[in-house]
Amino acid sequence: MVFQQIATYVVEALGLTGSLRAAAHFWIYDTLKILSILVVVIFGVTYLRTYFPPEKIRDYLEGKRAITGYALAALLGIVSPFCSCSTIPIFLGMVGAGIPFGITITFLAVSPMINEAALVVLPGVVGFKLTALYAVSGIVIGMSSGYTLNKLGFDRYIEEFNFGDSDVEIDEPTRKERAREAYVEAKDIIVEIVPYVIVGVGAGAAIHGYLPGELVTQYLSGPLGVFGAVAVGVPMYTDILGVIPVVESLIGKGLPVGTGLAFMMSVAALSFPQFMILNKVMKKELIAAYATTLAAGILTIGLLFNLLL
Amino acid sequence: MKITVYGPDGCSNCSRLKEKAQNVVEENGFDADVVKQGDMAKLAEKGIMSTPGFEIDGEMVFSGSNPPEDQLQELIEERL
Repeated sequence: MVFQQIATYVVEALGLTGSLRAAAHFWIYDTLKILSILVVVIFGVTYLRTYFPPEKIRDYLEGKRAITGYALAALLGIVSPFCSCSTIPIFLGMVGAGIPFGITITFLAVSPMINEAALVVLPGVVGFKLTALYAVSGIVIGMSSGYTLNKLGFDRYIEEFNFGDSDVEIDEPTRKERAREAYVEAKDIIVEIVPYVIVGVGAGAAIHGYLPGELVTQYLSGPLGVFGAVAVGVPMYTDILGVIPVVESLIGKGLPVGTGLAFMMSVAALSFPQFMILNKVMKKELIAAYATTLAAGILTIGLLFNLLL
Repeated sequence: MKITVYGPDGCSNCSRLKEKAQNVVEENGFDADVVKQGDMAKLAEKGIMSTPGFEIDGEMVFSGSNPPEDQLQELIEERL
């Protein structure tokens, strides 16, 4: 593959050998691979998304039966925008439209945890089996979190506000306008993600080239490793696409798959900046319960997969 | 005239729309204040699900898109 050749060419031109060569090769190859996939996928998805504005989605979800509603909310979470600054207004719009609380929470939880770009990048990095496991577990965790918080009556902790009716008339955009919107949005997203990818792949490369495998198998492989992964992952704020190369390297060094998945999910699903925004619309009790159910779900999945796989 | 761009903090698309609107106002010498509103509750009150929202004197002109400056200029001129 051409990226492989570029990476080999560069490390040879620089005369690198040993661990440094392995690390530099990994860095160049993975950065090129991930970024090129991103450009294509993000543009494609943002273009398609112009056909499904959130207002339409909300109207569609209204009055759906519970099980269908939960499943749809999870799917919508996957194709939703990348930034929690865009998903939270959608979440509020759903709440305002009276869509059942558990369904709205499912959307909110799945949205950062699984995104379409990650689903396209992951198979090339960790294989199809792990990608499928990641997606299915993310959906299950999101749905159970929504269901649990709903059953426990946590909807009373949403801040009271009047959700207005937007009187904007949305004209059906032309194809050219859709492409332009998609281009602008995709460019924004990519510019935002690039630093995370470069740093993430760099960290992955350092692990790949220098971290002794015995350290990983000795200290990170037990059940405590899963707890550790979640404890480190929750406060960490980076894009999921920056975490994938780190997990790739760690799994290559013998990190159990469940622990790797748990780390990826906890980084993606929960972050302080998201809590800060949620803090404006939810009471602390709900934010704490939301974080707890997600962390518990991630821990369970991590421990379970380490046991089964 | 008061132009309000509704967009939460962290939404770079929204900040860019505010800058563009500010440019259009300054370049054309329109008598208008451009402000950005980032409060999620305010966004909800206005019924905005797709960011950014673009409001002129209380009228929500569009939301969820980021038109080029010439289109912004037209939208503002129509309401002067």
